[in-house]
Amino acid sequence: MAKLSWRRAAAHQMGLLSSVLALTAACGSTGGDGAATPGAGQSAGASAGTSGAAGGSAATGGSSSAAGTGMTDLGPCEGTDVPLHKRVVRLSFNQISNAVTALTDPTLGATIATTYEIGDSLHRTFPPLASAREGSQLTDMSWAKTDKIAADVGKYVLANAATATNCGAAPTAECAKTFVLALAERAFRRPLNDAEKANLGKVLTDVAAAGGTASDQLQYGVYAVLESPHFLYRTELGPDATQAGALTPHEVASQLSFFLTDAPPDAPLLEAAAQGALASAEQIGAHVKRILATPTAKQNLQDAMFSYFGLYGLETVIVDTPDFTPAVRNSMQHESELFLKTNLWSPKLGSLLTARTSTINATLAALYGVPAPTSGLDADGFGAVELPANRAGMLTNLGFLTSRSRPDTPSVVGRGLLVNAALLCAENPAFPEALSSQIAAASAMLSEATEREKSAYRTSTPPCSGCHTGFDPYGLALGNFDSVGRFTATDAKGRPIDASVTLPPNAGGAQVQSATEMADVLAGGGAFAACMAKNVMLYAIAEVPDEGASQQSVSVTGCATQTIASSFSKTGQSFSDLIEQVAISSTLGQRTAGVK
Amino acid sequence: MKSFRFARRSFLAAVGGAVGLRVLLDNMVASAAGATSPPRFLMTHWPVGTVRYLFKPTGTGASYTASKIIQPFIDAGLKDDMSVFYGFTHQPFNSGIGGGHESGTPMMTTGCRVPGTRANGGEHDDGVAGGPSFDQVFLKNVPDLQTPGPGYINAICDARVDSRETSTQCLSYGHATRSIAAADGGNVTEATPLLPELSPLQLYLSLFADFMPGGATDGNQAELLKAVKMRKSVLDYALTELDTLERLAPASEKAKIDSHAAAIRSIETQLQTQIDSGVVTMQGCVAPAKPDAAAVGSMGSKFDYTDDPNNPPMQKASDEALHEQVGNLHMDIIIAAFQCDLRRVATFQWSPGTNHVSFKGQYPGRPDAIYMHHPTSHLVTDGRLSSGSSSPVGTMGDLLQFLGNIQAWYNAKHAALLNKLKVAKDSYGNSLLDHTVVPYVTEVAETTHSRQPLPGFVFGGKALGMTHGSYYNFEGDLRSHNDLWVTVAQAYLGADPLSKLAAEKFEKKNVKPIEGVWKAPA
Repeated sequence: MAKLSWRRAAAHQMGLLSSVLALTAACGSTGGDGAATPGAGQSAGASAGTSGAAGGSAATGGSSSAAGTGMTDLGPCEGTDVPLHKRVVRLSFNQISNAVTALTDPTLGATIATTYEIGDSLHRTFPPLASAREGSQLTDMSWAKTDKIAADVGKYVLANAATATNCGAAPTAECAKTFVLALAERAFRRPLNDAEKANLGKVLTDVAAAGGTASDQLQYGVYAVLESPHFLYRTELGPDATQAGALTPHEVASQLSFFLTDAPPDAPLLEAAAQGALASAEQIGAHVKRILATPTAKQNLQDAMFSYFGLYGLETVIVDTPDFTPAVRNSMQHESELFLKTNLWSPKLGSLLTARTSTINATLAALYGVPAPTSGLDADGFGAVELPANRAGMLTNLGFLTSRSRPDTPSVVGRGLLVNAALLCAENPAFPEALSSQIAAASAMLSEATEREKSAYRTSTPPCSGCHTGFDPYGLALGNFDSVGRFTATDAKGRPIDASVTLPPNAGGAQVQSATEMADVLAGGGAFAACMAKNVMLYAIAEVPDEGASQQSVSVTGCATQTIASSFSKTGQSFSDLIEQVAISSTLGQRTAGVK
Repeated sequence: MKSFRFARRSFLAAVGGAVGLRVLLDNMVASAAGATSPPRFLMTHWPVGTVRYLFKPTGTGASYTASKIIQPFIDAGLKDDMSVFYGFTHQPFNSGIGGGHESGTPMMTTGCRVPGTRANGGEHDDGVAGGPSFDQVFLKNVPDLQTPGPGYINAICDARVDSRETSTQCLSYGHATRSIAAADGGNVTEATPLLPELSPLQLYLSLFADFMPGGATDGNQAELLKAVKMRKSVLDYALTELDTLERLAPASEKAKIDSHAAAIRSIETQLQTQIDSGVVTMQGCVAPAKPDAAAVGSMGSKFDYTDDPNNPPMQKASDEALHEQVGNLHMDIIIAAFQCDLRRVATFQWSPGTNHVSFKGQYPGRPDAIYMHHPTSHLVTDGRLSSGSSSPVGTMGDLLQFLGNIQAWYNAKHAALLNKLKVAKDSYGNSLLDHTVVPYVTEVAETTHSRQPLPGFVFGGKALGMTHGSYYNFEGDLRSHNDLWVTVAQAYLGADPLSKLAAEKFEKKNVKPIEGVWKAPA
């Protein structure tokens, strides 16, 4: 049974950013072994310096308690709610391609995305800049890609000058210059200062000096605009780069727009920025509400959450049962997309965990054990159905469960770790390699035991209990669902499955009888909301801070997260409310000066 | 070491003029001016170590008998272009931090201690590089390996990792460092990863996108030269604006901005060289065929691991045909880049050490089974089996045979790539392989992640003094893996490479070249 493999089968790979929350002291005590063995000692090392309670160490900054109905008071927070210093943040490749579309037309944007193999939004890392292949900084090869894109835009605009510019097919030098400067203002997402205009003008004169024509000036002028750091980065420097404080209105517009739509700010946002009307919570909130009503924003955020939950794992997961056909796989993926589309925009964030309706097809209906939908079918044959009472939201969604399935059997531990990390933002411990032989021995001894008995062993036997009490219950509560998410009352040997558990401390410690009860408890507790707050905030800030103190602040117990969670609890508590609270937070709006 | 580039420039100055300059690159004229093939360096890698009893040849020295794993190189006619080694160790610079493959990979290519692991949102074992990799070390220290522009290209054929790791999907690390979030909190300083290109099409575009169809001619050189000058004005502008940003932004943003500026500057030197010489594209340099966008390996995080040794993780379809195709496409581009003298340094990686590529019919007795390489390797739980002297029976023996078969598969495909390099001639009429040293290394000794005894190969570079045909076994007296790199370094730096690399960070204690592998060319 369990060896190296279950660790591998765990949730680590998803598009999740696990917090840097220290392990509970109990989990850290793996006896002398953990600390002694290099590599295996990582988790022990991490916990060595912290004090006991699940939820973090002594507050170093402001204190923030999660008020509001039904919320667990998570205690004092770590760090500060202004963890970010002034910075320049590069646009991801998808953002660059969307910006090209906005500046020219969708044809060019699509060509760029295809030519340069800019992956689609469903497959991105969460957040995108955290991917090794994007990165927060440009190096030779990634820069070369941005350079080629810029050159391609220049060529395209010249080739299509009659429609892309008002200079006609054969531009004059003067018209080219006017166009380039106007393009720059749109591309940089703000007006240019005199020096910037002069610098661009110099490109045009240099081009002429090299023997270039007015057409060349147009082409290379456009190339320069898209090559410019003012296009490739959005700044967070404020009006005075030496003074801590707010972003400029144009910086707010860019940050907000790329957060909500992955694309540059639209005309109303830019107009508001020009008027200086993007400072107060009301002003920003109004734009958030406006933009969230658009299909582009909805799709972008749905796709971001799809990548967060790692649902693209469905495409390649191997489940060794003939029932997991390509049609089933594709249907599950589509259902998951529709699930997010429906439930992200429902009145309560908690619907993600509790919704009992889903939009499915006949293939999935068979797995859910319900009649196939017959009315209100969309073009793909998917229609809304009420799922059985033993189903609740994401936890029992076929795709969510299957995307993490092991090839041979569902894993209590794997699912436990998944819930722990994905829904509660807890830190999963590393597999204790030093205990491999003991684990193998225990597995052999328990080979005929039920999953419940195996878990009981793990959660009651030191040193296993130190970690396993923290996540096994989540997996046990999901024990009735097989590798492809079908409900089953008995296991492979016909023994009844008991899904009742006592939830771990980080979910409040309640006793629940089933997965649906667990879903209700998690939806109503503060930990899930705080976890979603943390992740939406990380997505919004795009480039996760790389300094120790700032990292703490953006962890699930950090003040940045806790402040947002607290203000969220005072709203109607929908996903849209969460987006808005993140958008108006001081984490997004304020920057420290940083070291010069 | 004679600088061929200097010879070329002085010839240029002598001839003068604009368009007529292209003739200097004609073979005969170049030789008359005393110019000769430049050296090149190509670092290559295979995943998951080896199986000792299936790898080790019998005998040592020049008269060894190849094992099943090594035989594909012999069958491909490469015996005299190959040196085989067994008995390296990473221990002298093993900090113990990070995962088996995850730290093995940066240790392998940099020879430096791994100072910490990266916070990547996934597992905590993603070791960071403590210094630059040897491709970058050579690029920096050997002027003859430098070309205008970035000077290097990096390619990988598949990039599926376990959990968001950078380490396993990257061989190459630069000299520039940056401070990043560490997996267990706080920060760690790493050498900046220079991630390889996964897509052959993108690799092609990065080198050959601007090539005129049909190659350079008198007529289009002038047009190309004008385009170069206009492009340079765009890049000059971008540097000016980057400078502005750097003055405004806090110090923490410097690494990011500097990296961007360095990328621009390296291309600017390339453009300036073209402007100065009046030659944009080498005569006779024709771009290779543009690869199909569909010919690309997979990427992303995978976690297909099972427990039962009798049931390795199955795939529905095997990857090997695509994997081989991508390897060939990447190598065709690297060869063209070398022939066109666009680059003289490259790295080529088949896959991350945690290799999720799947193979059909390589498992004994199961001709239809399609299993993934690295997940299957972890069903071997006892390192004594994979580093033992003989085959265990039963399932463990079958699993190890599977691993040996995969290594033989890689060697057969690698041999084909090396033969492409061997038959390819550069513009001086010489075989590329003779002027390119090609180490072929792996990140762990065997499947349970031991740091020793490591196998290794070096191919090519005979015109640079490398002498081949032998098998060297030092498992009784393990040698630092850095001995392999300093052995190779002689081809570029002559005898006593260590003194010339004194300022570099790799671990030098007890490191010395392996005797007999390099001899100064006459």
